Amino acid sequence: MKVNRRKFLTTSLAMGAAGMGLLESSFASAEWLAADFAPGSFDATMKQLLNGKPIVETDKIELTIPEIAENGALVPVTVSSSLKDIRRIAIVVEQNPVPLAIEAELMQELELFMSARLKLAGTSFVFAIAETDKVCYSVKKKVKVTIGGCGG
Amino acid sequence: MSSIKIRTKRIDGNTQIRTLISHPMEHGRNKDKATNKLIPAHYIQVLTVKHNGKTIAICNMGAGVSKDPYFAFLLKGGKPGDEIIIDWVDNLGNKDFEKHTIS
Repeated sequence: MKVNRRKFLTTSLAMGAAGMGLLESSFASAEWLAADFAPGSFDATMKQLLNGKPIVETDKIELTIPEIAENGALVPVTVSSSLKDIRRIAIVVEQNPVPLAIEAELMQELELFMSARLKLAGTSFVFAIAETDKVCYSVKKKVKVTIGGCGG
Repeated sequence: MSSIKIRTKRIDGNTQIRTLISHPMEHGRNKDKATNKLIPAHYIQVLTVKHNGKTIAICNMGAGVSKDPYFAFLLKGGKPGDEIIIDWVDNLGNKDFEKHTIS
């Protein structure tokens, strides 16, 4: 199911040049997918996120997150970028049972800027992934957690 | 009372939208210490931000977002009187929304 929807989304986006209306409608239909947020390995999540697109490490995305988090249950994160044509930003925590934390679609009306607060199960790399038509840009930072975020 | 708080602030011609939602964001792996049973998963799945009726952001999320989630966005432009609507849906089908007018 998910592959079909992704495929449909990609093809309809590829045709997007033909009509902005179509582009917008596929944005609006972005639905929450259980498969994306299923517990799984980091690699599987990344594979699903990238959807066959090459991954490019970049310094043009700014990922602001504390290097040492005292409390893993509340880690503030900010992603911003000056890159154009980004339509989706995802935040992935490598060591979490469910690695994908947030997958956001930001329309043209918004600057590429988003803040949120994450739970971290433990010390982990946090990835910010920005998806464009052709590639996925990624940036990662290591966060050291002194108290786990799993417990209450 | 709504579970959503919205604050907006005009910064250099842009508008910062901040929101704080009160929600447990349980991922389903925590145990209730009193009964020693698992607390069922209860978390927001989709958060939508609308500006004057047009959707400007759709955030899909899992339980990897902390309890009482906070989000901030930066709207290009925006003027006093513009309407911001934020709504959420969680995995149990609960939903809520809040309207805010940029001042």
